[in-house]
Amino acid sequence: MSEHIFLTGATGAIGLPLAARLLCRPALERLTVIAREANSAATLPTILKRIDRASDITKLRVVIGDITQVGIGLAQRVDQPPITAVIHGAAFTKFRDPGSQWEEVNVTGTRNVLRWRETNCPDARLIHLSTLCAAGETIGSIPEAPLEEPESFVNGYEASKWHAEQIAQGTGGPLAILRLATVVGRQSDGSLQRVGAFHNVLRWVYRGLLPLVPGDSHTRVELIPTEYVTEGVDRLLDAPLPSAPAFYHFSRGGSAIPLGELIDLCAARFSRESEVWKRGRVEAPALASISAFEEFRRSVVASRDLLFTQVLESVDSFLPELFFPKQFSTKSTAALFGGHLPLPDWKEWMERVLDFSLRSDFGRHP
Amino acid sequence: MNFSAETTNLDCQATVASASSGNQVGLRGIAAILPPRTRDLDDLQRGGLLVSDLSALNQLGFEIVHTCDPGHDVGWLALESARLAMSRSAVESAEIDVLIWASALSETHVQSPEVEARMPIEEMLGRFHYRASWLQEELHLDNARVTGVAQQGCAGMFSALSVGHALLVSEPSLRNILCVGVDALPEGAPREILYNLISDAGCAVILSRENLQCRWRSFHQVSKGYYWNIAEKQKEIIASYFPTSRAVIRELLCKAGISAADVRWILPTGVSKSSWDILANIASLDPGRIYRAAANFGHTIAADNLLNLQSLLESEKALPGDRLLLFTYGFGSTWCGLILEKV
Repeated sequence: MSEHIFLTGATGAIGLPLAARLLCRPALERLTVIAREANSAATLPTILKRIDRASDITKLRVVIGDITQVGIGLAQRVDQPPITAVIHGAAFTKFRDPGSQWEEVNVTGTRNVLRWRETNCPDARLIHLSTLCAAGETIGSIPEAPLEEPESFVNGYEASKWHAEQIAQGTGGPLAILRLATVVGRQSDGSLQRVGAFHNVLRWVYRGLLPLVPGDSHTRVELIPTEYVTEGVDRLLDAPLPSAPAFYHFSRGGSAIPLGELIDLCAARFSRESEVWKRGRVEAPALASISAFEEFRRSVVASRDLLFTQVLESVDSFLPELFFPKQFSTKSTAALFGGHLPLPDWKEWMERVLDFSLRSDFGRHP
Repeated sequence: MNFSAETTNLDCQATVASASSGNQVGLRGIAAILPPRTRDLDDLQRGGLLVSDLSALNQLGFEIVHTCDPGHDVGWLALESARLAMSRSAVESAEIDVLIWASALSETHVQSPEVEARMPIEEMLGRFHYRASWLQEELHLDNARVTGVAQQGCAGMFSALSVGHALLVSEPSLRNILCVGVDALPEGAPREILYNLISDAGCAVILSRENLQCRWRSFHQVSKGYYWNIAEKQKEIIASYFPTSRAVIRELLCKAGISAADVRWILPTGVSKSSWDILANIASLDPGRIYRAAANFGHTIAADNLLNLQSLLESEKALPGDRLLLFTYGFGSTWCGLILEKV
């Protein structure tokens, strides 16, 4: 059966490599992606080809729209050939929201996409990309199942993604909800088209401007390679979906990365790159308890120092989650991948991520 | 710095063994004083002497500063603190074998002229009018040889103590070494440096082998010339403070052969209080063991730790055997830590 996949969020950090991967599927007849700007539409084929030369961009159709609008702002019909799968990956992923984009994009946007699907392709399977952060400040074991509403969230992004999951679960038709760990680079070469919080934090560390990281020797971080997601979605498109919503944790499960070891690895790599690191003039940030880190935050706020306010914003978008340790069940995910999680040796992979980061000025010039 | 495993540093253990001979040396007399004139935040703001908003400094725990006046200048601070340290330790002038003067600011090393120089040569010669020599004469330290420590910022007094300790260890004939640290900002200078409010102050310590109040256990200093340009590297300096401090304290404790839990009292500097809570946390020290003198004097360049140590000793809260940790950072950049044991 030929496929027509409709993808939102194709210009994002995960959407780009995912679109490139989908364009390699033999059964694919059409990949329709929605973009808000004509400029994105014009440049997308080139970017996707750069990500994966095997991408068949003749199957790509870029339509201008906006998921925050009713009917997702499409000016044209896109349901021919019949859409077989909708992958909803669009999200406002920044952890600080001076406006109301969490609500507009993540909650209203999800509602609009699902309504559009119900109208145009109610039988198409829906793959909703969520985040491990949707579990909020819950601590402990998280099953691959609907989430109880956490008592609180680290930030509004987490809350909006939890709400989006609730909306997705209320829709009809075959549904898979994927909760993703932080994607920080390809397994093959460590590259990432659109860098986010992780690379921003790395950049501050490298410049010697991040003095503290919240966490302790038990703190673990959930970082995964891009291929984990692209291959997982690829497999999910071929897998039978049950009538009830299926949940997957694209997580490291029991092998999350020890924060201390990660910092040591970064420091060792930076020392090979930079003379001031090698000579010990710049040191890796110190691990601080949540209370000490909050004290540091109060000092920065009190001082109104602009640079350290920026540093804190980067850290806030990535690190406070570390204080709410969770063990994500990965049974269904492992089954999807044939019995094991597709995790490379994290140190070898992270070396490649750091190589890319240094080469590209932490993603500014990928 | 290694986060993934607790350090078991064999090099450090070797240092402990080789340094044990220095443990017979310690602090015999301690004195630290502030000039009586105070200025509050409002006053400083009106005078244009603050960089940050008044409310920001308030939130960081600052209230007042002590500043010199014509009757209580650098010379007064030096004389008073030295005399007090000598009287407290019952050491006579003739028993002082070395005088070490420490100041962060170059102008504090030189005695101000009583009359304005009329000729260029007089002005030039005036630059050699050293405070240390003046103090030696004032105190009749006729058996003392004189030296000075500079270019260490707020770590100058620690360096003076380190040099004095090394001299006592290496030269058995030396009996008492007087270290004097004084710094006063120029009249009209900003009173805020990197979000810290600065007081003028003086302090003096007599290092000796007998009648000790505190025994010397270990000293560790790290200097990073990379940060010499403060104006250019201001942010990097602030960011490097905590990680490097943590590393220095770990090495300091290792040299003393003790753990963080063995530290009974932490004698802080007067930089923002919250920074000490953070430092204690990341160095695994108990923030409840930070001891501060009752008076809030902000941050003095040379004397913070000794003002607090003096207050602790007067309070009699420190018991024999208690391990005391003193730590400071100085522009340059230099990080210094000192472990003492109450006798």
